[in-house]
Amino acid sequence: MRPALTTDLRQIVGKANVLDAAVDLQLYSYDAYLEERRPDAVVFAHSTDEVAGIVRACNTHGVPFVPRGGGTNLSGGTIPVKGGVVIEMIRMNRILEVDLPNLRARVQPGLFNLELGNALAPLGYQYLPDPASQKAATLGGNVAENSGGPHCFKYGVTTNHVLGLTVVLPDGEVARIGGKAPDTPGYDLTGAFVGSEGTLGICTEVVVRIVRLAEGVKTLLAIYDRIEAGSETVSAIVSAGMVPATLEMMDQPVIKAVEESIHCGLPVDCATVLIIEVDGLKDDLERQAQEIADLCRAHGAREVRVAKDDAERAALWAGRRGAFGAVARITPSYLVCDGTVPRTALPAVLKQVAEVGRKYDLQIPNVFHAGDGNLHPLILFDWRNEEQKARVMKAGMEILETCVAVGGTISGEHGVGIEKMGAMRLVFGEPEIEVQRKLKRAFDPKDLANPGKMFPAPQEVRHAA
Amino acid sequence: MLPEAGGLTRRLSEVVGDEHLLSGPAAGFAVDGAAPSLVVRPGTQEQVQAVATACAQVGAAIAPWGGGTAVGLGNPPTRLDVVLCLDRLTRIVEFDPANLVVSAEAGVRLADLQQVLAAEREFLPLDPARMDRRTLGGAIATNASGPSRLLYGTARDLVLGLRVVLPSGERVRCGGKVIKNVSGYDMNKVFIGSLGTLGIITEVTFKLLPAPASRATLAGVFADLPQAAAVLQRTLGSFLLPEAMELLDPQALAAVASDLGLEGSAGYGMAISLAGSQETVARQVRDFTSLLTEGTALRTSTLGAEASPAAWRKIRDLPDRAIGADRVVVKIGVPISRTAAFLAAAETLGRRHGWRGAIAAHAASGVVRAAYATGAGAPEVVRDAVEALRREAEAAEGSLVVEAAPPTLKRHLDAWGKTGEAFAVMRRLKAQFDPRGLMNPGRFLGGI
Amino acid sequence: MAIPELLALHETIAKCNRCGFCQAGCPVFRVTGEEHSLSRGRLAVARGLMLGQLELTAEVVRALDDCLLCRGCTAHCFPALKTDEIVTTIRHAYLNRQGQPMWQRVLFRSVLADSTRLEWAARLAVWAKRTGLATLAEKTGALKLADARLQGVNDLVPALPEMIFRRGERTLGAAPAKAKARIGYFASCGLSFQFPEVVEATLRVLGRAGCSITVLNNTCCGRPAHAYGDFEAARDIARRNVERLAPAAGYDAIVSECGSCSAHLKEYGTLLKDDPAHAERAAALAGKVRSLSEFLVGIGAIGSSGRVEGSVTYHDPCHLSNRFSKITAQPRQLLKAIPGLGYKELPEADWCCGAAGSYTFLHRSEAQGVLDRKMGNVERTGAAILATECPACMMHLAYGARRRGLSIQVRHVSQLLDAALG
Repeated sequence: MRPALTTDLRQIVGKANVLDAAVDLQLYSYDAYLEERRPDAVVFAHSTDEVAGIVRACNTHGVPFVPRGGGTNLSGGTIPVKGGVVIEMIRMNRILEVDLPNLRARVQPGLFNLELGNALAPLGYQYLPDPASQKAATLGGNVAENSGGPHCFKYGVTTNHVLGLTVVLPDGEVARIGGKAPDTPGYDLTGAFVGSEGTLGICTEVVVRIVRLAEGVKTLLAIYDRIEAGSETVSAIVSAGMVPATLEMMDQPVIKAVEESIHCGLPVDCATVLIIEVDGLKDDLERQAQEIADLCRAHGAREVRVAKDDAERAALWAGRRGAFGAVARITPSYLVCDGTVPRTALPAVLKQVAEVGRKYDLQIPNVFHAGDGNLHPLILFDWRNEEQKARVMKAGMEILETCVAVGGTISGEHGVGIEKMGAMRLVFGEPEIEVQRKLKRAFDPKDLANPGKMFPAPQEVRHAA
Repeated sequence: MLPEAGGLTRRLSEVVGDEHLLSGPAAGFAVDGAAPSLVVRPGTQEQVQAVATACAQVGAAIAPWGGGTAVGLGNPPTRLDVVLCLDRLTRIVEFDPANLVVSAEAGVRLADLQQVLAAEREFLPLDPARMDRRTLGGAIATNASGPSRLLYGTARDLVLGLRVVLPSGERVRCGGKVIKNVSGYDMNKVFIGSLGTLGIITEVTFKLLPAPASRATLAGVFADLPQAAAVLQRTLGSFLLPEAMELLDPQALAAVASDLGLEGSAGYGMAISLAGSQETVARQVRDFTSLLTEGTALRTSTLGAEASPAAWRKIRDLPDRAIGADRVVVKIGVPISRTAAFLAAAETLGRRHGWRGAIAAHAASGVVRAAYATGAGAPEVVRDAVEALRREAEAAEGSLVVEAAPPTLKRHLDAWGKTGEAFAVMRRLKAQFDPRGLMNPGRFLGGI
Repeated sequence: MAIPELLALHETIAKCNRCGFCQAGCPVFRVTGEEHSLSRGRLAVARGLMLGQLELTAEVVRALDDCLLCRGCTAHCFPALKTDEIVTTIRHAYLNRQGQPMWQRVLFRSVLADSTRLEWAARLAVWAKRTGLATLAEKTGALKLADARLQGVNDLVPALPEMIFRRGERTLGAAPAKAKARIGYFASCGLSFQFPEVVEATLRVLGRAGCSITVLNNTCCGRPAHAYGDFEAARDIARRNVERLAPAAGYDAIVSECGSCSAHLKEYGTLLKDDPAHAERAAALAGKVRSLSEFLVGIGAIGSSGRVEGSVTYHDPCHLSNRFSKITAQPRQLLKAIPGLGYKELPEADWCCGAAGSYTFLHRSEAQGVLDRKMGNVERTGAAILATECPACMMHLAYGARRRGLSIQVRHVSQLLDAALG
């Protein structure tokens, strides 16, 4: 415990907003990853000024800090591995401004992604990056991880839609970077900050791009007996000049689990289903859907379902939406892997993932974003079984090695955090890691902002802890 | 005067060969009137690395050079010893049409790249002016963009990876070949728009799009700006998805009127590019025609897929080509809703000083570019005028950047304006990458 | 130190993958933003206890105190964990070791266990209210002697009826021989002591639907005891009801228009499954239980000859929602069938209102936050009437309307059906 620090923190936010009892520290020692480490204190922030004050106090006491939103981080980004102060941003959850004429909104980082969408939809607008975790993940977390989601192939990721930030720098200074206007002179610090996993400071306001809701959307589901066929269909769709908004796939083990849990009418003996959505102006959606259906069948789809209305659309999505839930019933825990590969390499990589599963005697069902090559092998296990957990970590690392070997990378949307620190050297040599350290030093020379993340230690062991 | 110049010349000659090493003053590679001592043209990325290393050893200040189309951007360099020209790095390293990815060396010209991509019916939606000369490395280092940024974004939305030679001579890769990539920091963003102050881009990996099946262009002429602005408003509130919407002042329009099928018409011009499937292009042609007509356009015209590319080649080169050499070019960035207002402000500026000017705006992106023939105007007058317009832009939460000016004027102008609230971080970033200040010193924001 | 009471829940506790999706549905978390208010946090406490990393102390148990037991989390949870069961079990374990506050002991083991004592306690409360003693007790802080957290009691319950509804064996409605159905009416504490007019309305509606109704002499259903972790008292109360109401198992249905009662009664089979002397009768009784809407729709008593003018929106009590007994379609069906009544769907209709039985008396600030969210949704519908099927909800929603100065009328569904009898 650090009484002097706690006193300072209480002065800034009030006694009730500083937690340091053992049970509270335990509750802020984890996120959605598999490790735990207690902080020294937890502080609830309500304004940029408070965050700046807290960060300054951390500087004074030489104590690290970790910003946190919903704690849904899958790679350990919100775990305070070096202790220090967890700065809980979840109460800063307001929409500050919706500026339709300028196609911008200003929001606080503790706002759930879905709530922004819900506020914009009645106005006819949307914020495009909508990761699957959107009802539990905050904008601040999206910024920290450069979150993706099912629409990245067509619409890009978080960094393509975040145009400005108010940041509390690691020394406590407050800076507004970027903004509503395009092409702010100077280095693109906003772009550097997005995806920086809380290691360069804390954003307290986010300026995002908002766009009109699409005029129309058409949804299809195709069922295949070979995974390659599904992937080949995606290539064919692209070759035909179409850019679908969504291309989601899941493999047989997931489908079986889904059918067993929610009975949404998918055959348990197929190899994969492909969900495709095209959106945009209404005029060509029917034709695109027809063309896509033809391509699916031409590539061996045993069945193609086309949604005629919203209800049918929801039915086609039900399986994919229920995928994680279905898988969660099989074993107590699952590790969500997050490699990305060139799209055409997906079938081969999935075969190798299955090999890894056999090698380590683990079940690994797969959900993947077929458009952008981001795959999510779900390694099933029981966290109480230490030996099995060790095999899971080894399997996860081997899957990442596979992704890198085919020209991909180790993280598509969940970030490096703690989980993939050891894997950084699969994609980066020492010079690449050193340039990233330069960026870190420019923002945070004292290494107070979320230390112990992302950068591999000099002699990092290959297998993550 | 570069110390050890002789030694450096010898060393560089060993790397690239005599035929690719030029004496500076004679070679025509001046930056804002300052000539380098040496111009070196490496042929491979490894040679770039060797050149950078050699320069670093003697503390020579380097200015990277691509196609020379944006050399006027930024402040005059405080030191310039070597121009490192990338124009011989013209390899297409890897083109993977199935995955919509291409990696190409920094010296490849944008137009040449587009041709390679077109053979597989794909394209890179990056369309700044002078695509025939502009190189990939230069485009990325200057964050160059064109009208179609409206639908496709800019470099930060299109670059998947970079290879960079650092001032120290190290070679590093940033990013990768896939769209979803959060492995470590997004170093691409650090280098995009960094004007060669942190390193030399030697290779760029882009994400691509399938070439649209159909294209068309709509154009209209308006008697006054508010009418055109109203059409813009209505477009923004609609479902329509134009690829580009350019707003041209009468001077700019005059330069392209015949290309747009509006010969003889004068006034404010609006040019709209549509790309996509047959159905959506046809629908948008219909809708925009209605919008233009209801918006009381004096005249409208439509160009099909064949005539559109040529028209847009001309439009992209506005406003610069409407004004002769020795022009002052500024780029204003403001929130979208202020675009028309700042086009008007830029017009007023020219009129007030009696300068012939031309203005083109990426109307729905908040970008206004104005070119002026300031003639024999006194530098202080030009400076004060630019600063006044800049103050207006900054008051609107925007910016004004000087993209070009004759050398005699340039040194009186602040190219970038307000340094912003995170300038200390930018300074530290520069110090981390280039502690000795060898890369384009003084040219960037705040004199970095 | 292992906690034997938690053993049966170990597999459940192990299934929390800490994904945090419960944030999307936990009303208390949405008020406080604190991890201990969130199901994931509660599961973390349970895991800590399970692994011996945390001791079963007052501080640890207090971290679980503000759970509404509403299962708002379960709806978003991939393995569909029932956090309420874990919370009540931990309370149970704590109670076994540390005992329980005097007021709980008296209430659960004495007052609620016997219908006579129950009614006398209610009459005492009525008298205290009428004489102003209740207000005095609060103002002087005497009430806090029972529990320091008690607050706002008299604001939440501004008035009590002159006369409570008296339970006890008597038969009303259609003559048994000619009746469409023979039902036993299970009187809820909340309705019979706070809203007896609702009981009267219910009995009229059931009578007009052609039912022969026997008012049972039941005691409290026992849910409050269970919620506070006094599982023994809850089972004891259940046994008493099973014995008292054994004859009612022969009826066509046992009806309660309190969602919490009907849902809890339906669990009697599970509650007493390990009690050989009562298991079979408990299951039989549970099998006959119906909520009011469930019963009426079941016998086709939909629509009416009279009209009720106005617009209505409906709040799903937690225990009737899809997270518990799943009676959501029927109340809506009944309301939509009333001529003259325009129906508007309430956004987040099945989100807890914050009453959670007695929760609101002991957790004023959290309950207020939860209620504010609910009332915001209610206000946005613009409806003139807010209907529901639970007395705690009625009390809380009415309080919410008063605080906001809304003119909306809070009614039980049976009151609207009664008004439409024509």
